[in-house]
Amino acid sequence: MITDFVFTSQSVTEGHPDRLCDSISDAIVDAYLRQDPTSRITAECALSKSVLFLATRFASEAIVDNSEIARKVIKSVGYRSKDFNASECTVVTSQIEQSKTAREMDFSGDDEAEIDQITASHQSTVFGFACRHTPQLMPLPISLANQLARQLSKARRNAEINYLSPDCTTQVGVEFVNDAPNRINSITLVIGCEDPDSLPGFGQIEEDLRHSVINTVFKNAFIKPDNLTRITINPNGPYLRSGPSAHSGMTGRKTDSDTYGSFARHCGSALSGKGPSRIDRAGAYAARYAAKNIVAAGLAEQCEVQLSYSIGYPGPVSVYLTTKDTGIIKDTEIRKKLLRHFDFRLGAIIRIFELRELTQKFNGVFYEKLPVNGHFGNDNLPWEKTDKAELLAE
Amino acid sequence: MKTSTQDKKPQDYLLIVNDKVPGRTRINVPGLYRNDRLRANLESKLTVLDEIRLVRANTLTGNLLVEYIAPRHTREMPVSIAQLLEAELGFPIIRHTETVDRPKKTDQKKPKNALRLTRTTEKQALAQPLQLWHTLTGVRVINVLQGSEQGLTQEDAAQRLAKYGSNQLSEQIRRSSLQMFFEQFVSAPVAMLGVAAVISLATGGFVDTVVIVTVVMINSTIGFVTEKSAEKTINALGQLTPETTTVIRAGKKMEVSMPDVALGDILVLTPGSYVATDARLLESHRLTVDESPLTGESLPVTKNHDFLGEEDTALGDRLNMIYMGTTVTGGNGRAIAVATGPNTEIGKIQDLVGVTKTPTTPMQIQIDEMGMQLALLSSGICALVFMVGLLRGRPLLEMLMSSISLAVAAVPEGLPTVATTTLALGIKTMKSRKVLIRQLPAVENLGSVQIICLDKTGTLTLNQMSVVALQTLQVDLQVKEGGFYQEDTRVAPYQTDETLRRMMEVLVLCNESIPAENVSGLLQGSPTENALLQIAINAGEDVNSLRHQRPALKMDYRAEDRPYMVSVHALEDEQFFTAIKGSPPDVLALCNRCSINGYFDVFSEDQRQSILTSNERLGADALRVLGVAFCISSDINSYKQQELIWLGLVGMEDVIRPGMADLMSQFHDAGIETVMITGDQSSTALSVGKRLGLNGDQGKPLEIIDSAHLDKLEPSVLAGLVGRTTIFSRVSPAHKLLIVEALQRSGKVVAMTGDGINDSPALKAANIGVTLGEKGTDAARSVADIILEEDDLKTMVTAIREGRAIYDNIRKSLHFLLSTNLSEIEVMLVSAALGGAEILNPRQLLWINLITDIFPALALAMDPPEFDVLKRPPRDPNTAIVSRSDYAKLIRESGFISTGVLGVYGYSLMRYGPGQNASTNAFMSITISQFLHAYRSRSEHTSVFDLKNRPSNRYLDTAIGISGLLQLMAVAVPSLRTLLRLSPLNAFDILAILAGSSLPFLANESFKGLNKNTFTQDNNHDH
Repeated sequence: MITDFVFTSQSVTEGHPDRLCDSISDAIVDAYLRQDPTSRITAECALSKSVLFLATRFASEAIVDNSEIARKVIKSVGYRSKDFNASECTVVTSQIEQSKTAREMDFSGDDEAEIDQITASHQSTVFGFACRHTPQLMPLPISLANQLARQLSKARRNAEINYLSPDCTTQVGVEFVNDAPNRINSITLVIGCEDPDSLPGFGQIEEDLRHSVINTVFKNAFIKPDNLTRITINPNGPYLRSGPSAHSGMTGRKTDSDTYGSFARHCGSALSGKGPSRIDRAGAYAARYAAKNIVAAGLAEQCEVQLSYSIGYPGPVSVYLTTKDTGIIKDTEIRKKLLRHFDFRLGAIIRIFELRELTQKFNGVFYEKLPVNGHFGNDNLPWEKTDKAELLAE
Repeated sequence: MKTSTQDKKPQDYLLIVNDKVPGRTRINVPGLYRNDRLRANLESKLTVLDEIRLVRANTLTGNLLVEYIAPRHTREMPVSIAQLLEAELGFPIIRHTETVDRPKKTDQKKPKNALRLTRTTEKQALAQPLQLWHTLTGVRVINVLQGSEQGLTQEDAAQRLAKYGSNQLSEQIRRSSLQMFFEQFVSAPVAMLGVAAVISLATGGFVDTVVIVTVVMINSTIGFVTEKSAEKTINALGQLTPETTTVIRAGKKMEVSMPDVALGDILVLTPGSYVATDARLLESHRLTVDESPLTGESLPVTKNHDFLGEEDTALGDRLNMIYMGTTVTGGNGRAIAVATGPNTEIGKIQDLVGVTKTPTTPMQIQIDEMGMQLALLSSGICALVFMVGLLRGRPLLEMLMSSISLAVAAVPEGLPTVATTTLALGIKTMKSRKVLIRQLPAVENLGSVQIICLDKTGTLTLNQMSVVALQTLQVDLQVKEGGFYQEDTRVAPYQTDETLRRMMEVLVLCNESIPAENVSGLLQGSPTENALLQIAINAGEDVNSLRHQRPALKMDYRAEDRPYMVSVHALEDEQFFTAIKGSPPDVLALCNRCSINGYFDVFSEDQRQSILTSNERLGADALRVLGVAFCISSDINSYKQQELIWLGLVGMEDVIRPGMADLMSQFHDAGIETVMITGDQSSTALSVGKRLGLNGDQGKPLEIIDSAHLDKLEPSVLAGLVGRTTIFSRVSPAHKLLIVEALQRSGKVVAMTGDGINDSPALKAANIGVTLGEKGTDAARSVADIILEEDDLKTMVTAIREGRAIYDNIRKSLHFLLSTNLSEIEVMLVSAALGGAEILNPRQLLWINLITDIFPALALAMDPPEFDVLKRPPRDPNTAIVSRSDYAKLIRESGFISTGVLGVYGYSLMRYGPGQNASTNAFMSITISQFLHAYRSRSEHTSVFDLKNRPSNRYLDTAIGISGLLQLMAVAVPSLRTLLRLSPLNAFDILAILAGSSLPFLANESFKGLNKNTFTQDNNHDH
């Protein structure tokens, strides 16, 4: 078994068209849940040049102005108006209204029969992962890539670097020795430049990025870039055109940076744009919750939980996990504990994480922030809690 | 130009007679003739100038020849010479003929028949001075025309009208009735009949000649009568010029009738106004003009009075000129008339075009072409019959006669007449149903409309706001038909919440609408304010007394930085009542307390949040939402201190016209997609779209394109997007054109409604531009193809039904004519091949042609629309009017008829042997077969077996009745019988004839039934 390797993960900033589509899709989810927590909603978004396509399927009491919400999200990203103008772009919406089923009914909470009524409406095998690379129990490469991306956005919003476009990509390569992160192998940043007229010199860009982005991110990190770390900035030269005017985007195309940066398996289907009743979203959160609690309980160094759902069943038809021999007890024992303390039925997941109420609880905006702030690794999220670790450790 | 009239009047200008040779100009000078003093004067004055080489004034011709050093680049006469001459003689210099660089487009697109054509006055008008007006400054133009900024005086105008003629285009020379009658004779069949007549006469067949001449006369008379009335209807289309225009005379604006606009009149240009003459702009402000009648350019042109053109500036680029027949689309301005009537650009074009032709449609052209091909084809077959006959040893002359008669009978010469007549009849029918057709091609396009684009405001909705929801923190009321409802029970508003009383007071006071003087009268104000005032009246407020008690001291209107309206009113106790209404979040931000059932309380954060959520919900549900607040204080500016008391939300909506949802489903049934275009935001549009049922019965997803900047989109991208789109939201009227073009690019036949000036380019571009009669602006009406006179979109369904029926009817007539003529050819072909006696003699053939071709075909053209005409998909505009499968059908059906006829003939041969008896029976059965076939031709979908499913056509019943009677007379009246060489019939003959004619009919009708299943599949290709 190879235990010494380099692993790279990549991420994008809020202005990347794929990420923008994710944000818009989730903003639509929020808009429906804001008015009607029991809404069933699927929103998908595609973007090319100045045309935004937004298809929604919903069963809801809510009345939502889809194109207005899309424009709001675009505006909040803050593209230069000549690149992509929120009020001038064309929004093509397709809306299919459906009627609610028993799955969307309000349920009081403790009634088992009610939870059993909420069955999976999609077939899906979802994965959850946790490992000890970071305090948030996330794989280090994606964690760093996401942090760099967020720091890039922050630097732009705080006007620390005034020529940054909202559309940048990051990649971090981490060298593993004996399956543990050892050093930073490489950092690659591709940034879009806003103002081609007064394009900053290459040295300037590198200095700005090192100062405001890389150094800030690694300030408190336990592994820092060393003098052998290859830091590459815009290997193909500065991108003068960036954002939607330069390339197209679509919901669900950044699933790997949404999840574990390909360090663990992920289901492949998009997380964004799906309401609480979609098992491929709720299940992914529940699997992460399980994996994180197992690692937090000290049962293993790393853990990947797999849940398989079939249409018509309230709970998973298969629960599987692997610690890749890092467990202190056998995987089968861990699974027994898991099944004792976790309820993976869709209704239960919705109830435990309050997926339906989160939007209202967070002043009307919850899901919209996930694509940019991360679905995983943020301790404030309900599925990032380690409240079951003690139960598992017993 | 009518130069001959030149010397009849005292000349008041210097005319350049010849300046073709560089450096030499010959100018005609008035008063120079036999005036040596003037000659000497001119010569001496001019020789002083440096540029002059030679000056020679001729007192005999009255011409002045100047030779000068021409500047190399222009080669024109130096300005100094012109100035000197003008100063010396006091006349302007003008050129005799204007060289106009007309853009090519004008040639391609002849001006639409949009100008009123009236008889010119008897008096010969004088030539108007011609100038390159666009090269002169406005002031000079005024000087040259001896006008003034204040306009002409009435007397002056009258004088000029007398001098130059009225502002009317010369009447177009139309075909005279006589001409039209004679044209009936100039056709191939008549020529052939003429030959036949001559042959008959030469061979001593005097009776034959008389018969032929009679047939020709009858045919021509019927052709003339139908064509005459059709032409009258068709030429009446498109005549829609306004009667009057606004000019300034003696410093006053006044309306004068179009023909009374004189040279030098100052025209007042406002949006929508029709430009009465060619004119030079004196003043313009963002003036845009639709010059499409002149240049064919559908986009409006921006005009500018400051522009100065070169001599060779193209007509379309003369930005300081406006031309008769064009329409102002935006902005305003003033212009001085520089050419009127026939001297205008459009007048000149009209002179060039000469005789106006009655417009033809693509279908007519197709029919004409097909008629020509069929004529050739049947001539060929007749030649074949002739040859076969000769080979069979028939006499040459006899064979010639009979094949010519066959040709005459077989050539479908009535085709174009039938098409024109059907179109004309359709136009009349539509007019009686309040649908005005303005362009002939519209009639046939109506049948193929695939998409109808509808303006939301004003077309689908009434453009009247009305309050439908009132929300306070305590209650949530709906308003329906003036009554207040709380969860479907009618309530008295003030009993549910005292807050509503304050709310109504605010709506009355902070409102500029003026209440009606009597009970039934209308409120006067903006739609929103009217709606708000109306709801207060419904709630029981007395508007006048309330406003009287609390007089307004101050009103701050909505402005860019103030999304609300504030009014401050005096109360008796020296307090001030401040009323405010406007954008809910902004009004809410000004409030620190709220009213709950009349008690004022401090706001909680939850309450604010719930108000904002309610606002979002109401807003998303297609409502225009206003927040209402008030306060009473001793400070007149108190509202700025954010001490207002929140009252509630008012939701209003634009009321949908009654019956629109039904109308949409009728369109959908007819296979026509509906597209709504609106300036509203997409959620409003979605809600209206859902209520209208735009997504159809199947509830397909409503696709919305939401864009305020469609122009930023690549046209090809837009064309790709529009395919499934049902709603366009946030669209400005100017972008409707892009939508129409995109739909057409995706291969659709588009109808478009609109009534504004901005809509006219889109209306013009659409295959069918529809405008509503009363509301439509002149600009919209002038480009629309169809005007719905009663402002009711429902008549559009009528128009489409008629349009489809017209096309169907033309097809029915065609089908009938072609299949019956084909059967005649087939019978004669067999006859020639058999040899021996002819089955049908020439006179019989002419008789068949006379009684079966004309009346039944015309009656079929008047067939009422079939019941399922609006349940079928629109026809594919690219399909030929007679398709390949139709030809197969024609051959099959005519084959059945011929078989029947030949069967009868065969039976008679056996019974009587060759001769008159057998021929009589064949003649009788072919005519009756054709009569019956007229009923077969009535529909491709229904047969005589299911009479319930088809409307009756009494015209056809009458036509067949008359023709049948004539046919009976042919055998019953001895003289006619002799003429047609017929024998009397006995009972067996009658039975045989009936069997021989009805069996093919029944067979053809059954085939229709048999093919029903396959037909519905074929349908997709055929229509």
